[in-house]
Amino acid sequence: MPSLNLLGRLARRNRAFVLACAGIFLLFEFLVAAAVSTLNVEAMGTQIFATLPPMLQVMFGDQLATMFTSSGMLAFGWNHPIVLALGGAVAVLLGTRAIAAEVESGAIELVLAQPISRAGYFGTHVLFALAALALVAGAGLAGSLLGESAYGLPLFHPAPALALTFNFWLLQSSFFGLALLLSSGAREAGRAGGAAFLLLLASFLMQAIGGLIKKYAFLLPWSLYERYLPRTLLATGHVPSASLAVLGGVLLASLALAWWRFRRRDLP
Amino acid sequence: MTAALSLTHVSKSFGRVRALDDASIDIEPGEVFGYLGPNGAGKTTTLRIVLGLVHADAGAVSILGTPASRSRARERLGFLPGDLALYPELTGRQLLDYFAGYRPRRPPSLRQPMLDAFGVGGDVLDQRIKFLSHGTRQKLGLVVAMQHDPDLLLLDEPSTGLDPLVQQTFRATVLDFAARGRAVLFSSHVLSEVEQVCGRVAILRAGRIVAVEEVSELRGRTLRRLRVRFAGAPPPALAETPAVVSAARDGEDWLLTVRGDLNPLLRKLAAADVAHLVFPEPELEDVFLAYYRGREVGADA
Repeated sequence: MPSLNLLGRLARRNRAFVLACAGIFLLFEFLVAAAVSTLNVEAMGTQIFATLPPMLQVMFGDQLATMFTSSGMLAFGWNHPIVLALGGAVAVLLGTRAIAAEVESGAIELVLAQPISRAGYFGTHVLFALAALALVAGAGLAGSLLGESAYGLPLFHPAPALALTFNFWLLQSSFFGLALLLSSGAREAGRAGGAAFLLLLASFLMQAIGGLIKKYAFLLPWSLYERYLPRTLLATGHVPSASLAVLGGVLLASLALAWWRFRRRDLP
Repeated sequence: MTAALSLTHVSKSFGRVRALDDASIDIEPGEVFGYLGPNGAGKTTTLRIVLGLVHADAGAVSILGTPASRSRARERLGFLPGDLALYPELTGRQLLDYFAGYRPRRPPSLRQPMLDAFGVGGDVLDQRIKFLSHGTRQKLGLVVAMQHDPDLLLLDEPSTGLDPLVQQTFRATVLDFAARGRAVLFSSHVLSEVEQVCGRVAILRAGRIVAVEEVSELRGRTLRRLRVRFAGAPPPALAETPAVVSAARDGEDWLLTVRGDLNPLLRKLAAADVAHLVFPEPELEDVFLAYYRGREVGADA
């Protein structure tokens, strides 16, 4: 099947980068577990809390209470900027390469002259990207479980662990969808990738600023990162339906729009 | 017999620019069909419409009886783009295998014979594309297009980057293709290239097919320009020689515009004392002039 041939090509072309990101994610979570195992996190949290001014104690008391537990620290490892950057990099790269990079290089002319439909081409790229992001997310989970096992920490229960992995995957997949949407109408990979990166950065900053400064809390619902809740997931064991709806909705809508644009487009 | 390629009243505009205007052609199996026009005439747009890369505003295209919009129509088709873009990180062998993988039911039976004919050896195939010369990449592009022995071959400026010997090999390959019942659409802006391999040719200008005719008729219509300098007196009644459309002096030289059978003129020149003779390839504009003003000139002659 032509799509299988393309899938093989995508795997060969992207495996080094995807495996590297997955490997770094695994190692990072393993190291987070190693770090957590050396700390008396509850005592550390109490000491840090005591040093804060009263106003900050009120502002951050709840957060610190949940963060300075073993699972809270492990969850922090899943919300670390490095981890978010790894997932985002895979999402943006694969979204940009799918269409814009092929148009820019001119290779898409020769590929779509083969007996593969535009639907087959598009669908194969989407399938590969979602699988690659699942691999990266799974690597993170493996890193956490290995670290917990190696350092005698309480293991994530299955339900929260899977919920966390799924939430991470859904977040990064929604960014892939947005990157693919930008790529679907672009002629240059750099522009599409740059725009996708700016979207990621804007979303991240909106969550950071909205979370830190109450006056800007209205920004929070606009950030996709606000729908990624490692600490909540580890406590409750399931992804809140609002998060599912927003992230899933962004993913499906962006894929649908991207397909609509790509299907109608004159190439190159 | 089902046409190998059929375009029926195909039109395409990009904004205000009419890239293709009511184009209709039929290419039969066993035919090498030329598609001749200057840059920007609509040749590549036509090929892209056939391949489904560009959506036509109107008209219908079928490949071997199957609507061109179906991807399976391209199963039996081979294509060489005008701007060939290959994956630089792949080796030649990986590239050929990758594109062969799109047609598992059509093994690349012609790959090795073509590589041998083009002189592309294993050492070249093991190199990454980015380290290969332009000519070698073009050869690989031709092999990609033809290795699965397609029934219809679309070639967009195929001789670009090929040295004359390889061009000769390539032309022989194309003619062999047609002799085995395959159809070839040969798109080019080089008249001599089209003349050497094609049986029929469509003349395309500003998106319109202005004529479709046999190459022999094309040769007969095309105006050509000849510059000759005589050491002594010029032959008598030079301007009245058959095939001479016009004759003018340019200093010591005679500028002759000729068309059709040149033998009487050549006999006259052979008998004269010629000091200098230049007979360049006709410009495409000269070909078009034959269609826009040919009847007027023909009536005068």
